[in-house]
Amino acid sequence: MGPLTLITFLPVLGAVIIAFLPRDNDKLIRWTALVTTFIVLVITATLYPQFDRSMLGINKLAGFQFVEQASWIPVFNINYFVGVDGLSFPMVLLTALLCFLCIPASWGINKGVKGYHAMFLLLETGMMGTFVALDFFLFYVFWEIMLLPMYFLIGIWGGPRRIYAAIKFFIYTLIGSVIMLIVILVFFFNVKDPVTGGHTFNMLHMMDSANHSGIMTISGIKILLWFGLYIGFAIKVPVFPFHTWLPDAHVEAPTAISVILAGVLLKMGTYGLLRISYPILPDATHALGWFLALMGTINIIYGAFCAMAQTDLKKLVAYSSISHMGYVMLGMSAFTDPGMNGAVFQMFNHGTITAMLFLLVGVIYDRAHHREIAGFGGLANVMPRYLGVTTFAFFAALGLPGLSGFISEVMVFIGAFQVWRTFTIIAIFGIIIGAGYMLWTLQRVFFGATNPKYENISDINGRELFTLIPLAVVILFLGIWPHPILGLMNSSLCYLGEIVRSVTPL
Amino acid sequence: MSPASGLNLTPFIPELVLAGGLLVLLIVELIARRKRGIVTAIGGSILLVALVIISLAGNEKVGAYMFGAVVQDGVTLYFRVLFALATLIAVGIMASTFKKEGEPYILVLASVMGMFLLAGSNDLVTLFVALEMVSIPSYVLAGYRRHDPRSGEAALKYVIYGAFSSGLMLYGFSLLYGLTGATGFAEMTEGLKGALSGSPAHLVGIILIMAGIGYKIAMVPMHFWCPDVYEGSPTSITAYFSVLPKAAGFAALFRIAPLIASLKPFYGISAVGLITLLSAMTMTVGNLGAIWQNSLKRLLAYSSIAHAGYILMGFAVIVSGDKPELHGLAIQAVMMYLVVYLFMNLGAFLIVDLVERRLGGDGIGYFKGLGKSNPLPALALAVFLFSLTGLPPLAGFIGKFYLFAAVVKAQMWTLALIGIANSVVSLFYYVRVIRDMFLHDPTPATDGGIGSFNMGKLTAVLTLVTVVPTVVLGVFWNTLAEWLKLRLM
Repeated sequence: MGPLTLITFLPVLGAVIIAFLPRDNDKLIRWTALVTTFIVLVITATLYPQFDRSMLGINKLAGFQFVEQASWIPVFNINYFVGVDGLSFPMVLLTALLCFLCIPASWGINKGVKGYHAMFLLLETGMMGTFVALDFFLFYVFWEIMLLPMYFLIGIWGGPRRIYAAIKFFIYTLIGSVIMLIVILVFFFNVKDPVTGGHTFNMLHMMDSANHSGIMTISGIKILLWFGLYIGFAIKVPVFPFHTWLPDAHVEAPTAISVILAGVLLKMGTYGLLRISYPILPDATHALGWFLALMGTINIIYGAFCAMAQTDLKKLVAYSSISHMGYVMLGMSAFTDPGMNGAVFQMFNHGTITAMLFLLVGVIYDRAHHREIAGFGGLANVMPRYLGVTTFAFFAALGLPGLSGFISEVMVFIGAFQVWRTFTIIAIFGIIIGAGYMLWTLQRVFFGATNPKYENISDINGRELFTLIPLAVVILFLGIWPHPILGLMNSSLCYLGEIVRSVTPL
Repeated sequence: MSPASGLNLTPFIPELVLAGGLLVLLIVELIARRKRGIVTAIGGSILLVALVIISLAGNEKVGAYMFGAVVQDGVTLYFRVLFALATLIAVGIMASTFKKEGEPYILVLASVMGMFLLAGSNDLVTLFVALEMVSIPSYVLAGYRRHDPRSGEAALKYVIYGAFSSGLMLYGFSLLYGLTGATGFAEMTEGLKGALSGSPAHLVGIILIMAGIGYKIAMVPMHFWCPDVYEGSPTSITAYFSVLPKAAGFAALFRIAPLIASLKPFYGISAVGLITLLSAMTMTVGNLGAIWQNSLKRLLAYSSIAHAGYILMGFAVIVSGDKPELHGLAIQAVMMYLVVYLFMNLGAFLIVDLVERRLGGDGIGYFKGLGKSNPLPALALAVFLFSLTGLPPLAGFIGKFYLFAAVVKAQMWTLALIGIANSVVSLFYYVRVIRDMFLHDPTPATDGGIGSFNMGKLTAVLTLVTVVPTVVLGVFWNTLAEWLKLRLM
């Protein structure tokens, strides 16, 4: 059994163990979950030095690392096929890190602790599996496995409107995934396995246009298929106009689940586009670069303006996520080296920064039991340490030089400016609006006269700092020296950009 | 195969065993005089297990026998095993309700006798007789609670609809007989291939036959009886109705599929177009109807209509032409779906029946907070409902995956899109039940203050028997797929 199988299925094992633990022993359940996610993190960390940064991956089996391949359903030529390259490995790192930090962040959950942690671990399996799967059927199964735990995690442990938010999330995502299922089947029936000549779900075979046959060689159909995948992925990102589930889900979800939702689940969308749409349909992608750039720009500006208008702190962070995912879209729409690298680096950075933001909102919510920005004020006097960490996170989110978000945003702009001048110029205003709403919020929450209600509020505690400090260290460190992550992805992403650039657009 | 093998009774052994066993049980029941129904249930179960074994052990590639009236092939074998397995579980579900009286089991087995015959029918007459043998015991079963007016209403509706649709079907048979002068399916298909194909009589005949079969499988627009009968019948009987007569209808459809496929387009109405339309209507009406239901039995009734629509997608592909590879895939898809449907649907009814017996009703209110008061049954029902929605990694997904694969391979895009839209709609009502079970707290007003209850050993075992395949087939279905594939060789 290889390391990728371990990190994918260890959480399920943890969930099974939790299922057999006594229902009222909350402490034991929490520690089991913590140890499980910690082991996953350690295994992932040990893979880091072994990862060969020069290997390309994307569409070459030889370029993938830690590959495991076994026949699963021979009747349909479905394989258990996993491996990582420069595109997926940073996402695996991010997932392992955030999942580990989310368990202590869930320490405050005391209703249905058993179910919560079992669901959470199942969710981790789904996320890991999606990032490492190289067989499209396997990918789809993992992609769908994430739905069920997420539904329950929002629906049972969420806020007052949790039931509405949970079903909205579920239905939106399911619409996207059933459309994806049809596209997968079309791929399956029109891609030949070069070895056996039969049909195949192997993504790498699908990426070689020499294997395409039938309707997959028709330009109009390719565009349709591209849009079929796009809808599935855009709902997850979420790209305007499919974004309406996100603020609801975020506001209602418990803190740790918001972290996972924003930190990892949103990345699935852009990851899917890069892993599947780009290499399988490079000509359609090349022809539709303008569309991605347009949607990215809309997301940046629209998300930023919406964030500015929010009165609920968590909703503000949720909309800022929509805006920040727009940078990812803009960066990857250009297919240039800095653009592609910037996009995936932004995915990673947004994962860490937004996780901090949601954890910080959780900190204040646990004390004040509300999130209305107008209800606070002058917290700087009573929570000085909280002010420090929050200021750091907000500055990271608005792209202050020296913090990781700045690097990825600059790379996105440099990469996109070469190809999409107008879009980039418009998008840059997103930075200004972003700085505007972040600073304005900071001012309203922390400065001015202290609300007498909160004069005796306690400052951030050790457990909360334990979840925040590692993220802050990563953000600061990558802001000064981004190479440890950028170096991982560079060769794969340059290669992916070249695959798309080198084909004639449809 | 020539009629010369007509007097060979060896392929007929399962039916003979069933008939013999049935007589023995009848005598046992006469001696026990409505006091030891459980003995009949156990006897029936043993008989069914024996039937599975005998069917599997028999030689399946015999071809036509009994002078061409009956055929023995892989599909016959498949259906015999399917029917016996499903009945076994259904008898188990019934055993919790019918402890004293033995008649329900005997009626069910009599109905299974008809199904076995149906699975191998190769001739209009056999098909019709077999279908009636399936139906008549079902009417009695629907009305088994004599003193419950709803049960009586259910039986009456079932009989009247049944008689009417049988009449329509017979009329359709007579038209096709008139065109070809034959009753054997092979001869009729041959006869209809020529100039007769696509004549008005051919089209009307096919439509009338579809009406008769449509009644059995609860296909729109012949579905009106379904929710009322399901609601009025005793729940454990409904469990049986929701799977077995339906599967029997599909077995009949398998046999007459070549007749339908032989229809040449007539004023633009082709066989594929007809089945596609019926499939789309059935799943849409079923799913839209289910959204508004507050009784779980009615909800599952509408959901079973929707599932008939999904399965008809496979038949749309089966009648679409003669590309063997495509044809094979579609047949496998239907066969796979029925197996999966058997476990998840019987399982869902099992839990509904349990809740009804313990808490007193099947209204959605009784399920409020079930996840907290009785986590195990609630979890099982959640698995079945998610599987019915078609979410991986549960078996229902594999069933849908096969059907969609067949439809996509046949490039029937409209049907695929309608199927997708329906899958999403279905999530809505299945999840509504799950939501009430897990996202709400139990209230004394809904569960009568009973709270936590004991599942009972039999129900616990049956839950395992249905949950395990629903989960396992979602992950490892290769063995089953290989087995099904072999049946078609």
